Amino acid sequence: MSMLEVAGLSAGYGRGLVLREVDLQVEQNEIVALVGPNGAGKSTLLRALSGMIPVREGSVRFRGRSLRGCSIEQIAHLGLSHVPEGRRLFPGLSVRDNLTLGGWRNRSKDVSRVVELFPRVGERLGQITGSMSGGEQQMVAIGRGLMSSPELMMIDELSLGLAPVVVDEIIARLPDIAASGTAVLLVEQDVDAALSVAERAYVLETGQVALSGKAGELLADKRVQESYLGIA
Amino acid sequence: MTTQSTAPGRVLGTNPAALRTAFARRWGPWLLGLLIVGGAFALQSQIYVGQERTVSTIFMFVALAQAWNLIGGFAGYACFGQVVFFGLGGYTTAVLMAHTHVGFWVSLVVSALLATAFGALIGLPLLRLKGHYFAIATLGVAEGMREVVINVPSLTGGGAGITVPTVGNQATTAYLGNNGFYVLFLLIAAGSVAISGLVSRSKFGFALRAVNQDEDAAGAVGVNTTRTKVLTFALSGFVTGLVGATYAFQQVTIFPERLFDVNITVLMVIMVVIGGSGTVLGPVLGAVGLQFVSEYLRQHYTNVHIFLLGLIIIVGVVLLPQGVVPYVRDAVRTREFSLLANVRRYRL
Amino acid sequence: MTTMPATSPAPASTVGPPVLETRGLGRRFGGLQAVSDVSFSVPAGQTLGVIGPNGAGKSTFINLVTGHIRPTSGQVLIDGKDLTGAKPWVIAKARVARTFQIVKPFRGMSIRENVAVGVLHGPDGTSVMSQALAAADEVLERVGLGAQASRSPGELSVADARRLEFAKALALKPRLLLLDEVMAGLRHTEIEPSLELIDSLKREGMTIIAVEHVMKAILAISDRVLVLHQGQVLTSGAPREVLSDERVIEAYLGHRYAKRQQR
Repeated sequence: MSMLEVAGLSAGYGRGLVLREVDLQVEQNEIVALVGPNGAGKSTLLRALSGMIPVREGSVRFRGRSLRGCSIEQIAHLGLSHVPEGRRLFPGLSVRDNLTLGGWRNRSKDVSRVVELFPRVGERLGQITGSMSGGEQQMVAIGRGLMSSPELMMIDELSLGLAPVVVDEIIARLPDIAASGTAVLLVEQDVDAALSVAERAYVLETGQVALSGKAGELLADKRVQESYLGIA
Repeated sequence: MTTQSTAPGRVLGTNPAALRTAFARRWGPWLLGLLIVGGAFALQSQIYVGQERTVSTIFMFVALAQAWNLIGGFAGYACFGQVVFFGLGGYTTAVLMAHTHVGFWVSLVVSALLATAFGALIGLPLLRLKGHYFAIATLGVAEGMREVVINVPSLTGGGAGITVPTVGNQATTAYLGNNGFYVLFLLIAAGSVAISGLVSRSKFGFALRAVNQDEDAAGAVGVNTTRTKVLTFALSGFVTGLVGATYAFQQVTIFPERLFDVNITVLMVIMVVIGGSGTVLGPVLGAVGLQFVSEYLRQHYTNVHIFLLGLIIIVGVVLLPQGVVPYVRDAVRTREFSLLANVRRYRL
Repeated sequence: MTTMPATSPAPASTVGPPVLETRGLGRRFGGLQAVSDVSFSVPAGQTLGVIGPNGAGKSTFINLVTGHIRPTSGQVLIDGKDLTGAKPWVIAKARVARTFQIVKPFRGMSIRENVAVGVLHGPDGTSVMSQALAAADEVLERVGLGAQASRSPGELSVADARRLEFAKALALKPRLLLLDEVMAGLRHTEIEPSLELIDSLKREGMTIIAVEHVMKAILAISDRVLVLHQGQVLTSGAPREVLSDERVIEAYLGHRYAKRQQR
């Protein structure tokens, strides 16, 4: 059984429906990419999974347990961590404090894993995050997501506002993260970056899964470009 | 008064029944208002002096509540320094009558105009602030003004107060007495309700409500949001200043702590919120209701009346978050009278 | 809004100043240059599609034109008149109307009253309430919300709420209409009627600037397409050309995507 199993998921805001009957799986230690044009519902899907918005229909099973109706804290406790779009660090706090706050699930203050992955973060543990560059902030945000030793970490649009070189640097660390026990569900606008690191991918278009399959195959598939730009 | 409206140009035609309804809708409230005012006049001869003063105070608060409702209710800018207009109006009248021996009626007009101008002046910078910032800034203005008044004793008598001459050859206007003030406050109250009614149904009222709901969208459809807000603030200052001036004459001797008392603002807010902010009837109900309850409690539960009043206000605000008038309107429309449903309806 | 009989599409006018022209338009927020050096012009009757990946500055761009944000550099000219930094209501009175990406209805007022605000305070400045309400009804009929005129905005579906945004904009009888992602989140069945409405407006000679993500819509309505990327104009031209431009593909799909495709 997959670690994360989503079947027939429908969700939205207020009266509108953004996602319609979405099916998706993530296995242990896997990196799965979720790409698609703007407004497709990628962020909405992550929010539905982490409990920020209610699931209207369908099922969500994480490590065998149903997540429907669970609160955000309960879902986080189960080992599902969400690194939100725009980083959303606590700008007035230091790097170490931000990371510690991420570790409340198991009261962990052990930042060694994060420092190992991102040495630059290790050099700046005392720095106030608001004064850091976008790339450094993204590293801290991912680090914070890792502090609770989650089984699955969902990262929302890590490339936003970052230079391509920085994106590459951060993306390159994802296989290490997955290999050490934290699967990754990567929502990304930068299709190239996402599909170059993921094993499998889904393409979301107007709230539904338009394409799915092995990342390498999708990278060569003209239909991906069509879903973004309307023409191939 | 309802916010739903028909488009008379299309519906009417020559259908007599429809014409009657449209006529009733347009003029009904005014006729009703006239009736109530007439009744209030008549009431005067039926009640004795003590009650007369109480009812006068009710009229005063109706006017104050309506004034606050303009900026706090219709425009959605909760002003916590509204008493500054009250105090400005009162002190302008007292100072003019005490130092220049100008008559009351002239002082009344000057006071109201001064309060209006002050509203326009501070409105321009302050109305750029939102929500809590506007509330605190206006509160600061009121507190500051009180200190200013205390610190120019040669003009205002400072902390010792100032007295309006009402006897002897210094007195330029005969004291109005209980009867006179009853009528004057009644007229001001009626006028404030009329202004509220006019604003609510007019082109200006539409602009106000749009500004309240969404300033960006209001601007995008052509509403000059700055001018709308400043005018409304100035208008609310006008009415409040009128009341303050009348109050000063009535009290004869006034003190800064009373004329710039933040509790007066708080009372205005409570009355409007409980009655129904942004409606025409709400402030009236709130003012009348609160004063009645307050008086009743004071007479029958003298030792604990303040505590009980506070309790009632808390319960009222929790159960009727939008106030009495919207609750009744929605309950009648949806046929759901349960108070719990009301709380759920407006769950923030 | 008076409806003209459907005739052949009005040709883009080359007479007189363009309806909208921007010169070096820019906006900086602290250290971030959200929009920089955007220059283009839209002649009367043309529909310009504006696209660009997330964070490209598209919303900022619209807000700069409509006066909701002040430019820190550059100019906005409407019908040849410099209206740079003018307040939103001044722009509205110049017959420039817009919709909002996140719909902004006036709650506590009926749908008819929502539209009437624009009739009362817009360029026509109607003073008689009954006239304004009647005019509002006409606009609502035009967008297909006539039957809902007396209801409140909270009761509307997402697609209808978008139509209300249209109606509020059309109440100004605009010459230039700025559409901010009006197709976002709509199902295919809901996109069609919106496209028809835009089409009928185009036939009447309306000048339109549409910021969009839904490429199907962009292809359907645009005479020209402008691509914004990281706050600057990447390229502009005919829709199909632009969408096949390698730089545009890179902007949307990633910095190595197009090159990878060629391998």
